[in-house]
Amino acid sequence: MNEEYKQSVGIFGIAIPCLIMAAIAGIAFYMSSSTAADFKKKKKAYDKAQIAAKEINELQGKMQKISRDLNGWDNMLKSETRGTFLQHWKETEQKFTGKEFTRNPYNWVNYSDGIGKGLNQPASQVNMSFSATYRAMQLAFLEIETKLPNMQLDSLSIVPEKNGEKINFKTTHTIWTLK
Amino acid sequence: MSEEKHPSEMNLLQLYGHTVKVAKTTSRMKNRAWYQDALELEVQVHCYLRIEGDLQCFLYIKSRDTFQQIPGLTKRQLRRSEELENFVDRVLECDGAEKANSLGVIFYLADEFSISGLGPEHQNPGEVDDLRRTLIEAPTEVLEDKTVSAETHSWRLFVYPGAPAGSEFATSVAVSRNHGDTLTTLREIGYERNLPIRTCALSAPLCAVASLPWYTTPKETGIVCVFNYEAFTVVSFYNEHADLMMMRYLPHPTGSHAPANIGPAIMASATAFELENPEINVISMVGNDVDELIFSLQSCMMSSEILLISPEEIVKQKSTTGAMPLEMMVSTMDLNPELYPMADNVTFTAFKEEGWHLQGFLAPSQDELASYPSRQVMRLLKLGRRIKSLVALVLVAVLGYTGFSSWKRMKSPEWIYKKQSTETTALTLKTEIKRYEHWDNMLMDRSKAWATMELVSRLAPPDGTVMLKDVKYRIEQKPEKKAKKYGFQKTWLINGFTDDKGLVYLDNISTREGIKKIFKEVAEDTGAYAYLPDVGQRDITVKMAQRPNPSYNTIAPAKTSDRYRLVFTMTISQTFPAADDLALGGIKEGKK
Repeated sequence: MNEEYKQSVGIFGIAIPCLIMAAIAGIAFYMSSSTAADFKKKKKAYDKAQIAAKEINELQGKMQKISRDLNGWDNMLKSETRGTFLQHWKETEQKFTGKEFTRNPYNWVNYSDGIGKGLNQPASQVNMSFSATYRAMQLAFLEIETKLPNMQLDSLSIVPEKNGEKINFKTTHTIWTLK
Repeated sequence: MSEEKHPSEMNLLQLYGHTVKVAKTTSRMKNRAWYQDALELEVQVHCYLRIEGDLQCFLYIKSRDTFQQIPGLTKRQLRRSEELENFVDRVLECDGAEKANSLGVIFYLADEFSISGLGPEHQNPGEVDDLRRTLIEAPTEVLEDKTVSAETHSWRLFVYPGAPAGSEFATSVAVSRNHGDTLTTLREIGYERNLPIRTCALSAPLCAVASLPWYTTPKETGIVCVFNYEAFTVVSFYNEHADLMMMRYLPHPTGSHAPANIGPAIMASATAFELENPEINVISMVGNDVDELIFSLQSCMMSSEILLISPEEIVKQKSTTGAMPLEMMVSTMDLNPELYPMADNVTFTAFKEEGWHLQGFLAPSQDELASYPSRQVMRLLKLGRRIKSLVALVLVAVLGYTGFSSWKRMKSPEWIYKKQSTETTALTLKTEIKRYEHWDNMLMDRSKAWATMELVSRLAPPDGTVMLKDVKYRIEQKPEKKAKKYGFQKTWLINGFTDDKGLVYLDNISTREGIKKIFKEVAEDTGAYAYLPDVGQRDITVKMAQRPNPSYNTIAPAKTSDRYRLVFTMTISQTFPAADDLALGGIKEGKK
């Protein structure tokens, strides 16, 4: 009889309650690990988003710094045409006398065969010639090239006139364009 | 219990329920007295049963080692439950028993005794443990007399440690179960009161046999003790070492206080054991007149010393605990071997260690024992509770940990976060930045006319010693294999006139260091980064060649240039590798 008592206590007093509690603990662990797995996924997404947000912040910061320049360039590139190009030269010409600076006819090429050759960047080429004093020509170039930073000098020829009063300048510029 | 199903009929679940109920409703879990022998308890009542007269009852407080006689019970009261309850109440009101959490009731059965020999096939001392158990459970299996009843009598094995070879090594002692109900009732009172009342029925003659060391010492001639009770006399024989060789049970004829022919009977046994003139101790255990008995002995054992021992005197001399029957002293007092050397012999060592003389005859039935879980079961239940508490603690910790960690996760921004698409924004920004980088590269001042003119102007010193004839400037791409950008080269070809002084100047700038110095000045003055000479792997080379001016004429020069003795040609090249910041990006596919 003693054995039966021991068996009953062993089974119902120890084994079964412990098994039930172990099962509850198991369920708790399972649920916890399940939430941990979900959390891991969410954390991965969150971390990714944080990195992305940080990257965007950095990009936005960078953008803030460059946006002024970029906007300026955009405006310049959008507004500048061959017509405005001529207009700039006309405005510059007015600052000099005819003895100091004379602009000769010029011609455009719809592509660049100079520095812009073989690049994805659309460009035009303009060949110009001037008869001017050295100082007037340099000042005119300084003004125009400052206004139009998309101008890159491909070639320049400086030859004094025979009478020695002026100098003949021949230039070829590549001009970066939007299209 | 009587209303419930007996545990032997219960299934395991019911049995567990019963065990838990017992643990909850009784003190069995906490009070170990439920599982102790009556003689181990603090408060004990020792009751001496004779044929005539009432029970003599003594309260024994174990820690004080004191006996106190208390009002006894009549034979009639022994059979009445309420009287026994009153008796228990009275006992528990006595000094020293008021706070008793248990009570031991020990009966000394002096009213009956019998001895029966073991069967001839059970004369092996090696089987003593088996015999002891079988005699309790199925006495007829081992007794020589197969007509005995286990229903009416209770049987116990009793050994003769001093038995000579060839003699019986043990015998069986029996008492009737007449007083079993009384002890059962007493135990039931205990069950009802949740007070452990442990009972024990000792055979008074066996206790008497064990009393020898208190009043004599080993004799070379051996010892014979004659214990005279109301209806019988028990005679025990001891060898020269005072080891028990045999016991004899001699019933008294009706109306007599002594057995018939006790003298010849003892003489015959003494002769059989070769005890010549043994010391004979006659002890009247219940106050009988034993003169007739002594006379019979004297007539047969003329050379033996016959002593009449008074048990009261022994108790008076040896015990300070009260005037109780000798058997009670034997069952409660330990023999000190220093005072009683006989205590160390085989017989009394066996008595002390194995309790042969203290065997309980009227033990609870198997049914009664099975009604309550044993001490081991209670311990197992207790252990189970501790294990459950521990596991529950672990479970709480697990639930706490998992719950807290899950809660913490669910409260975290990571859990609450809703996925948002930032890819478009990032892409837009990246596109814009890329566009900026592109235009930043495109619009760099890599080749400007005004800066080029500034360089040209510095090639001729202001003192007029050098005159430039013409200048040609050109920029060309310098593609490199596998490069993502185009490097380029700027070339200046300058022709001019110079005199000797100017030639020194031109020689100075025609060196690598000299031309770099000019470039550096231009870069610093114009802010044109392209003219900085020592950036990355940029390189500047210069070549100059001079020859005599064919139209040189200082007397009548036709032109200004005729005044110069020399003409010169200078070629300056500035190279920008593909790794240079000013290199051109955005090469068309297939051009790389």
